[in-house]
Amino acid sequence: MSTEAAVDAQAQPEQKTTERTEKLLAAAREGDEWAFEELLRLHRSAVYRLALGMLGDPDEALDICQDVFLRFFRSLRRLRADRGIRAWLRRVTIHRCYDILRAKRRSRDLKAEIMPSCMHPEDGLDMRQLTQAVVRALDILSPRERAALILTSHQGYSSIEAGAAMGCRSATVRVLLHRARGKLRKALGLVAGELV
Amino acid sequence: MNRQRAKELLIDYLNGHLEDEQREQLEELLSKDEELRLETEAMKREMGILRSAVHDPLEEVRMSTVSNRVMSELRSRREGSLRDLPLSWRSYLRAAAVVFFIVVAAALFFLLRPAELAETPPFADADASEEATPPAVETEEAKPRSMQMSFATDDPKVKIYWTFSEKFELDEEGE
Repeated sequence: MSTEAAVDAQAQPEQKTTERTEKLLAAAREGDEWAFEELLRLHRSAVYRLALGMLGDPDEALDICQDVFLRFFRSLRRLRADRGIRAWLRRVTIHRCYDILRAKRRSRDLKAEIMPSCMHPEDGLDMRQLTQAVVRALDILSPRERAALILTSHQGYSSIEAGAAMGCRSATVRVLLHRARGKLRKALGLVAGELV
Repeated sequence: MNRQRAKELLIDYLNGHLEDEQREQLEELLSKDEELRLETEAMKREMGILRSAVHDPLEEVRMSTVSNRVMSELRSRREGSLRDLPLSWRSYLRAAAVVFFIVVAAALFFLLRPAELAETPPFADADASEEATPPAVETEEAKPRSMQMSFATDDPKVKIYWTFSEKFELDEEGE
């Protein structure tokens, strides 16, 4: 198989997904409930994980998910293409999380109590300690630092995609990520020495 | 590519977002630079910690909850969508509702009206003659006595009939 053919073969599934999303989007715009539910099913995990990473609380992440998808429904006519939808969902999710984080200014202790509920029951005590330490460390970060860290290190987006979601340049994302990693290392230092 | 630039690009490298040319340059530098290699390993470890710490094993369950909540919210909003109609549509709807009510009321009236009224047609044939003829009474016993008056209007096709039932007592001469 030639290189071009290999590239085409890789691009085909993505193209099919995009075409499918386009069809679903068109049907949803016409009021097809099933099509909208299918779009919801395709994108809900990404939105939920991002919100969970940003807020650390499953219930709050669910609320954010619901809010984001209701906004998504109202914005159906303005959205174009699969990538456009994903970028739009990331951007709206991040900004809703900013609002929550800024408004609530929650205490670190409260979050440390909530997060272990997200763990596997079979996880040991070390995992629980590590989770609590990570959650405390994340709480030290500013919302923008947290967004840069979660989008890139947790969700695996590129710095360009993260910048688009956060409304800044990729260079700014790298700076924020550098700061966030420094704070995270400092906060995890003792625990990491014991556990990792 | 220097070390500082390579450190900036590390996150995109680890997430697989670098273009081929940049990736090759970075990998070349990694093979030579021990400090950069250690930095890469540290970043990988941090990403691993973050991903294992911030996750939800009940995600699948919660995802169905998300779908149910969003769809039920949308359905409940759709049910109340009449309130969101523009004013002009609302007035059309009201007019349609009034017409519908009148039609249904008229249909019920003609279907359920009393037998004595049903036997007397409310409107005589307008084309038959200019002067209306009162319906003949078959027998005094069988049919209640009644009197019908008619009024001509400007429109030759329209006449107004006024029927008096036997409750009106007539004298012997029928006056």
